[in-house]
Amino acid sequence: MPRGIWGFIARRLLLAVPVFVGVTLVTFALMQIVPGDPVALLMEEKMATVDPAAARIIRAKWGLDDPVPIQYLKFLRNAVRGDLGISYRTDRDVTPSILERVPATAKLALAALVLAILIGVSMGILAALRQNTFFDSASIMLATVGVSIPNFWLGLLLIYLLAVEWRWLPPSGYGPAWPYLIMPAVTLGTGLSAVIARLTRSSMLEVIRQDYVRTARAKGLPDRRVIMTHALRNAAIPIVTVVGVQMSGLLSGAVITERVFSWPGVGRLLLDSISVRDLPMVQGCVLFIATIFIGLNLLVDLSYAALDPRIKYE
Amino acid sequence: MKAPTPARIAPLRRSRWRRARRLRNLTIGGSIIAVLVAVAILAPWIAPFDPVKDADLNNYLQPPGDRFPLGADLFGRDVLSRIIYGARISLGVGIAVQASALTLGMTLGLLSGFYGGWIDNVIMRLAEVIFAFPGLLFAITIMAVIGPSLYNVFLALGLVSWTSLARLVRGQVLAIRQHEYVEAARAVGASNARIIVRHILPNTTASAIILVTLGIGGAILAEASLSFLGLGAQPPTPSWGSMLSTGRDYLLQAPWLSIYPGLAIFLTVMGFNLLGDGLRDLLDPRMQT
Repeated sequence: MPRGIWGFIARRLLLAVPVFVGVTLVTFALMQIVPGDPVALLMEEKMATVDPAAARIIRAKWGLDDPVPIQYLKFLRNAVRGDLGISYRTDRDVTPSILERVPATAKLALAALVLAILIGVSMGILAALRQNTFFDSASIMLATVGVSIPNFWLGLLLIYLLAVEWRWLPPSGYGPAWPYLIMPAVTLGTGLSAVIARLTRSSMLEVIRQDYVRTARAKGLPDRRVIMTHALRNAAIPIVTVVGVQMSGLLSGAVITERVFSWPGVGRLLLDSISVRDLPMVQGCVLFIATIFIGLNLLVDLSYAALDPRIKYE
Repeated sequence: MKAPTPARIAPLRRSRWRRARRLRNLTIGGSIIAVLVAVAILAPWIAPFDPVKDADLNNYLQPPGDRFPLGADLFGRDVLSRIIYGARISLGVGIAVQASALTLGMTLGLLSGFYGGWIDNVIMRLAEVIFAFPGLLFAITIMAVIGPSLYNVFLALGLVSWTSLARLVRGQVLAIRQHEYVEAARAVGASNARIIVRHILPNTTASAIILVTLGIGGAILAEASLSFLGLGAQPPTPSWGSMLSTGRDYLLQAPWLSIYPGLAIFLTVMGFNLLGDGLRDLLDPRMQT
């Protein structure tokens, strides 16, 4: 472990705290903008009438009569304890409702990420090693297409071709990775793999001209070893950085992909809750996804240490 | 420093123009966008039908043919005409969102970088918090709260989009502030406002233009995504995203409802991406990836 890394980790964790508090504040503030009294709206929908006495009891139970800053502090305290409130619709706790959807989203995001890294890195390396050949031009073109293609459209095209026309895969649904995960993972991973391919190519082009790569070759090391050990490791930092930045796209994309393929993850829970105006659930899902995102960025920052011992954590 | 005379500027401009023509991504992207802009402006003259009023249930889900080159939708409306009018919405939202991002991001970035201190702290912490939400998720949340409509899409995306620009401009201002010409301007008594507007702003525009061009494609994609999720433009507005959303339910019977609006989004986003990449190669080759 490089020197000073524990201090860096502690500082980085401390820096994440105000961001998390800011995220809770923004999420809470947004929910305050919703027009109308949520209790009255809910009673009207569920019972077609508003009983003022019952509304008063519910408002007191949910703490809606407290001043807004107090409501926020209670929300923050509960959020830190993992309590995100109670769903208006199901009367269930929000946190377990979200947690039971996490495995589906995690499976989808992880599969897309692995696919994107495998395809992106290998395409980028090959394109750099064969610079200015047909393969290089084709991969640049493919990457441009991959970056621009809307994932919801790609998903629909895949469903149309692979499920409707050729009947190779099921059009949607949740089940074992084969065959259910293939289309959603490709849909979600394509954009990221294109970004990784572009960056790996330019990173590798820069690195393979360095003296240490020439030295490794001159020592008579086999090409594969030179590329994998000497070149790729040094080209990896910008790639990891971009993967970190693209996590945002991956999580947003997961919301859309889950909708296209009826994948029962957190994203779909969020969209379903929006359509029925279940605000505590919306708030919980948003806060949950944003917190995961903050955590992933933290992980990306920490992974630099493993990749480049020269980085000083002052 | 002696100002370049017009005779010296001309060859510089000519060489840049020559370089621009050699940049394939710039020419292809520029051509796609030029066609798109022409289609959006000329929509009332080139669209064969009205995108909303010309509904006829006798033409329910008509496949592509002579009368409807790209087929008809479930209300019997011409898909081609709706796509042509949809260009106005996509371009309009893309440009409006990036114009507001440019105004907000540039101003906040300049203030943040130039003045530093608590102004910098407040602006950058705010940007960090917005950045902590995965981009589209923040827009989805805002739309969930304020309700679906095209105007709200613009509002939500505008609120999200300024952060990258503010960070970029701030970073550049921090570097430019150290240059001698800024010191010189201050030494001759130029006010802060004059230094910002005359000396710093012009040096940040090249990168801002590149980011904004790439951002228009991103905003168009975000609008389409929100409309696809039912949170953006509402029927019967001919937005490409909401057309795709409807098409999804008829994928089996009428794939043309999904294929063509998606193709329009894809080509438009690719056009802006190529144009942005090309502009970057032309204006700031150091940023090349």
